[in-house]
Amino acid sequence: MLCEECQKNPATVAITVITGNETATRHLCQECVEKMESSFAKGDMSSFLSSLLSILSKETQESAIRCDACGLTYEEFQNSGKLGCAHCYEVFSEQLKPLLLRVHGRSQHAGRVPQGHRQELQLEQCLAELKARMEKAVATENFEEAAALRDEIRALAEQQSAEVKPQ
Amino acid sequence: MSENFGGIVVSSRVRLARNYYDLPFSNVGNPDNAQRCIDRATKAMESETPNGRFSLYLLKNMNKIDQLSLMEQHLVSRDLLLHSDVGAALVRADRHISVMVNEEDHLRIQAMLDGFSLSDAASLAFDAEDRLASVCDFSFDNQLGYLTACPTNTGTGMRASLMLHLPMLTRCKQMGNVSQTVAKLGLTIRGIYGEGSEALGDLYQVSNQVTLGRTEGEIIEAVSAVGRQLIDMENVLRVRSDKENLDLQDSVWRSYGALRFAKQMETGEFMEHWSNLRLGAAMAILPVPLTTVDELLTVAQDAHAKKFKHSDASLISTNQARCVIIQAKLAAKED
Repeated sequence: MLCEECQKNPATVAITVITGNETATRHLCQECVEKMESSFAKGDMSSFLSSLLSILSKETQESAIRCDACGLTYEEFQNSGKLGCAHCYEVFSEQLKPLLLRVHGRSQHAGRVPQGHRQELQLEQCLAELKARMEKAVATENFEEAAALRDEIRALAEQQSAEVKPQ
Repeated sequence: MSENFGGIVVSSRVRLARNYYDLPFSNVGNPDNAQRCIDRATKAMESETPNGRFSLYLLKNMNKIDQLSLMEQHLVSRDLLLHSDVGAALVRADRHISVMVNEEDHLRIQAMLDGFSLSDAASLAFDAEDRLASVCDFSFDNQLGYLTACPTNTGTGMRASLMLHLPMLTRCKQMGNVSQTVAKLGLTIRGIYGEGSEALGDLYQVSNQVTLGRTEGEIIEAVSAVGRQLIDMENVLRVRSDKENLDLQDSVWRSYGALRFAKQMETGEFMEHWSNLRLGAAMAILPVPLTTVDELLTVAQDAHAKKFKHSDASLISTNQARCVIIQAKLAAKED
């Protein structure tokens, strides 16, 4: 999970704010937490508080996200449990990720693939496998093999983009 | 080959949820889109198969009793009946395959077979899926698999379920424990008409809950493994209470007597006696074939009984009609 503040570094700190009956948790990276702390130390209470308050408003913002294809809001999905169209999966992907993981325990499809997707998926799986092998080769300082694998990956990636273009 | 394991497995079902890639899901779709789904599915299934033709049932053209009778035959779900303005079903002549259109998802492909035959049911469903996909592609994502209206079905979109008759486990009050254990394995146990329905007649559907990240084969294997376990547990209890046991003999024959001679009977009472009748037939205590008992499960339900009552002016109630149907079936099997 990425830091919710800078969206760059991995989030390593979770801050929970309790206001009355409401609780909200925000996941941040060390760097952003330090920034917040330094503004607090400087006595800049307003910027410290505004960072904390944005935690609460984040949930309201989430409910208002709307799918630009079918018009469904995330709040409507939360109420009905049903998405409006295939595009909703992209628009709400950040919100759906933990939910899918909770329900299914996994996040990568296994099983039947429609005819049109088979080749594409095979290429992707092949690429992922080659990348993993290359990383392993680098880690074990087997640079000759890593270079060969890199070339193989490049060739496959080119093939992949060539296949996507005509569509 | 299907086996029913001492009459414990009633049927096997496989359901696939699919949506056309270019239309919004059913819950935000409009009537034009719904009609498009019906047209596409009908076109895909129009040519004759070696097992007969597919017939189209448009719910809006059917009365409530006929709609419910389709549900009692498990050809449509309760949810589809809630969308009777746009809902439709394509049913193959042998009733082993039905395609529900405009339920929660554009298509719900269902294959149903007697006994323990999940793999065969899955093959039937996949054949139907291939035919449907030949007219228009389905929504699919390389990571999330087949995209469905409810994220709980995404991935394979498959639900594999075994309908089991577990009277002994029920009597020993084991089903609560069993449900909890099964839930830990990513599976679930439901009543006979699916989600939220009661376990009438000691009938239970064991099915997978998880659809993402497991192949169709793995799902079938998981459901089968739990199914086999439950069959073993039920069998042990059946063997232990031997068939000469007076209490067992009494309850089975008492139910047979009621079904054979009563003049009126409500669904709840029928299902209780039906469970005893099925246990008696499976343990060869009663002179009734299991196939007859399983036929009763459908034809003696409310909508079927209501329909029968309308066809015969001398019948004054549904509960009376139910008894006439049951007794005609049972009498035909007597020597």
